[in-house]
Amino acid sequence: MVEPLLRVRDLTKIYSGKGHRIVACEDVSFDVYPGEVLGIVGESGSGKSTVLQCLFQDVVPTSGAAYLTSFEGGERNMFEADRRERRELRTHRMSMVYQNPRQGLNLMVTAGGNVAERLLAADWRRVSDIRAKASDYLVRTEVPIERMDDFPAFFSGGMQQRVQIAKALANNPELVLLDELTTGLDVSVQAGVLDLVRDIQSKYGVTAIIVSHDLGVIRLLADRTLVMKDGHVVESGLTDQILEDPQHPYTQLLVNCVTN
Amino acid sequence: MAEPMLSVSGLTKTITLHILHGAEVHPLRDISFDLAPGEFLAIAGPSGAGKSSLLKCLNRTYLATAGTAKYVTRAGEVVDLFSAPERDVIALRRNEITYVSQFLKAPPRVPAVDVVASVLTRRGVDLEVARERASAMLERLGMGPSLQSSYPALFSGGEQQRVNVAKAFVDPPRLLLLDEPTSALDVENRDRVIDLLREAQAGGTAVIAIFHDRELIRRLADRVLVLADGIAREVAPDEDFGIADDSLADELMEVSR
Repeated sequence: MVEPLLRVRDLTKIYSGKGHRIVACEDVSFDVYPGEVLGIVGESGSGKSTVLQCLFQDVVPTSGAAYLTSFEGGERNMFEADRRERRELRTHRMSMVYQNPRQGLNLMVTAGGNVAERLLAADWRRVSDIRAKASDYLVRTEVPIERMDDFPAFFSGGMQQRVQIAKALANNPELVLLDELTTGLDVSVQAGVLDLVRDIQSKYGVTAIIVSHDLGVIRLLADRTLVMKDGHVVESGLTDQILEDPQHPYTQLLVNCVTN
Repeated sequence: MAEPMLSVSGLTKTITLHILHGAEVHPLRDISFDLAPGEFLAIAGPSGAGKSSLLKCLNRTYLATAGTAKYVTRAGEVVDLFSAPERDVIALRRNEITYVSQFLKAPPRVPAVDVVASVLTRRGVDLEVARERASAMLERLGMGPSLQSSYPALFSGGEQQRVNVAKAFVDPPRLLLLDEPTSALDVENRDRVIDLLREAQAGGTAVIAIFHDRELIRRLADRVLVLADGIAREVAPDEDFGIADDSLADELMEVSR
C-alpha cells in the first residue's frame, strides 16, 4: 500500500480586517501520492493559488494542517514548523513555479545564477558542481546554454518560465508546486512549456500539484483533479471523469464553457 | 463456465444536467452480467442505447449511480471498479484494464510510435524496447515508418483508429474495453484487428466490445448484450436481435454489394 506523500487537512485561509472577512479557501483537504500530478482547477478568486501559497508557506494559513511524509515522519503539521524548518522545507523538499517569473526568479541575476542560488540554499558548496548542475538543468529545460550567463530580465516569457522550471527542479524536490505556469504566454510558447513539463514528468516521475484555470492544461498533465469554487473544493476525481462526467453544477458549467 | 473475472450487478447510471435545469438522463438501468477470462462479450444496440456509457462506467470515466462491478485482479484481489479508490483505478488502468475510445485522444505533438510506446513505458518497459514493440505493432496494422513518426492529430480517422487499436494490443491487458474499434477501418485492416483480438483472447484477455457490425459479432462474440433504452437482454451471437439501426446498416451493406 503506497502512502501519500502529502496530506492536507481542512486548510483554511481567511483574510480579515476592520469590518471585512474574505474567505480565500476553507476546509480544503486532499492527498497527493508519489509520482502523481494533482490538478486544481477553478476560476480566478476560487482560492486555488492560495492553497499553493499556504503549502509553500508564502502565506500563513488561518487553520488546518499539512503533513509531508518526509517531514518528521509525516506526524507533524508543517504549518507549525519554526523558521529554520520552514526554510528547509522550501529549499530541500518543495519548490514552486510562480505564474509571474518575477516572483520565482531574480531577474537581475543570470539564468545560471538563479539555478545556483537554489542549489546554494540547499547546501551545495562546490562552485564547479553547482555550475555543472545548473547547466545540466538549463539544458533539460531547453534553455540555450549560451544564455546561461544572461539576465532573465531580457528573456522572453516562455524562456523565463523554463528558467523557473530548471530552478524548481534543480535539487530534486519531493514536491513541485506549479501555479498557472502557462498563463500569459502565447499559445505556441504555452505548448512548448507544457510539452517540457509533460516530458520531465514522464521521464523523472516528479510529484506535482498544478493549479490552472485552463482545463486543457489539466487534461494534459493531471492524473486527478480538484475543482474549486469560492474557496471550497466542490468536486474531485480522476481527471477524465471530471471532464466527461462532471457532477457539480459549477463543474458542468466549466466543462461546457470549454467544449462549446 | 470458469469463475468470472468481472461481475457487474445492478449497474445504473443517471446523469443530472444542472445546466439544463436539473434534467435527468438515464443511460443505464439495472444492468447485470458476468465475464470470464478470455471471454468475448459484444454490446449491441441502437445509437443512444447506453453502450458507450456502460464501457465508460467500467473504466470510471463515468461514475456509476448504483450497482457494483466486482473485478478480480491479477493478484487475486476483488475490487469494485465503481467505488475503488482513485489510486487503485489509476493502477488498474496502467496495468490491467484498457479502454479504447471510439476516437483517439492522443496528447498533442507526440509521434504515433511514442503514443503507443507510452503504454509500455508506463508499465516499466525500457523506452527503446517499448519503441520497437510499438513500431512492430503499428507496422502490423499497415502503418509504415513515416506515419509512425508523425503526430496522430494530423492523421485520417482510420489511421487514428489504428493508433488507438495498437495501444490496446501492443501489450494486451487482462480486460479490454473497446468502443467500435473497427468503425473507420477498411476490410483489410478490420481483419487484422480481428486477428489481434483472437490472439489476445487466446492469451486470456477478456473483451467487452461495442460493435454495430452484425457479421463481426457473429465471428467474434461468445455472448451478446443488447441494450435498448438503457435496459439489457442477453442473446446468442447468431440470434436475430432485431435492432433498427442494425437492419438499416444491413440494408446499406446489401445496397453496397
